Amino acid sequence: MKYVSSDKTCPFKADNTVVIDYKNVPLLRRFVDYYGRIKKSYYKGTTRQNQSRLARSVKRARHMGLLSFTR
Amino acid sequence: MRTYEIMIAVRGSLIASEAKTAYDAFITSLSAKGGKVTYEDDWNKIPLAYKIKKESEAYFSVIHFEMESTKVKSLELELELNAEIIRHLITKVEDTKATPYNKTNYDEDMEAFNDEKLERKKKAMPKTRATTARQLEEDMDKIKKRKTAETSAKANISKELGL
Repeated sequence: MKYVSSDKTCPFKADNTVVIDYKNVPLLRRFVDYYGRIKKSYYKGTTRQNQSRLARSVKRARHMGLLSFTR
Repeated sequence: MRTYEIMIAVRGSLIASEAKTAYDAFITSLSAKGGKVTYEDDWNKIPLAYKIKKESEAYFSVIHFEMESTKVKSLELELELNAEIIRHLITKVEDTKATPYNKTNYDEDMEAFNDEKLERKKKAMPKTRATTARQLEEDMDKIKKRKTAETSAKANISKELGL
């Protein structure tokens, strides 16, 4: 079983105004590691719903050439 | 009728005026298919994360439009054949009343992100011994004192041993 920290809360919980969008590249960069891979949800405690939104937008941004696939 | 969002990337090797004509041609073809443009946002030239069709830069633009769902596929086919538009992405707009994420937001967020990155880099860098001339002098004095202490200690040792 993967260790999930209980004290981590979803970064999108505090700020409701933030919309996860494929155009918001600076936001997506925070959820992507050095090699351009999508970070696992247990690093920042993102909820399952938001994590899936993030993953979808990262893939869209990659398609448009805004984010890199690898490094 | 449904509202869609499309992002298009026009070849970066074109001049701005040529890119504009390519964009206009796309808009006319869009309206010919019964599309009604409700929102436009020009993103200008942006460097690409990787090379697409031998291009390292592209003119991006975001358009919201209303169109019959049956006609979207034909629009997409046309875009595939377009040589000037190297990439496109059509998505549904869930909330039509919300203000879309635009270029100014992107620029602001990018700046903040870069600042954050710089600060992180600064923190990770090893602290230099001296950043000002005064600190440098102090450091030099310390080194001098240490050296004199070492030489005197050596002299004392040699005296005791009777060399």
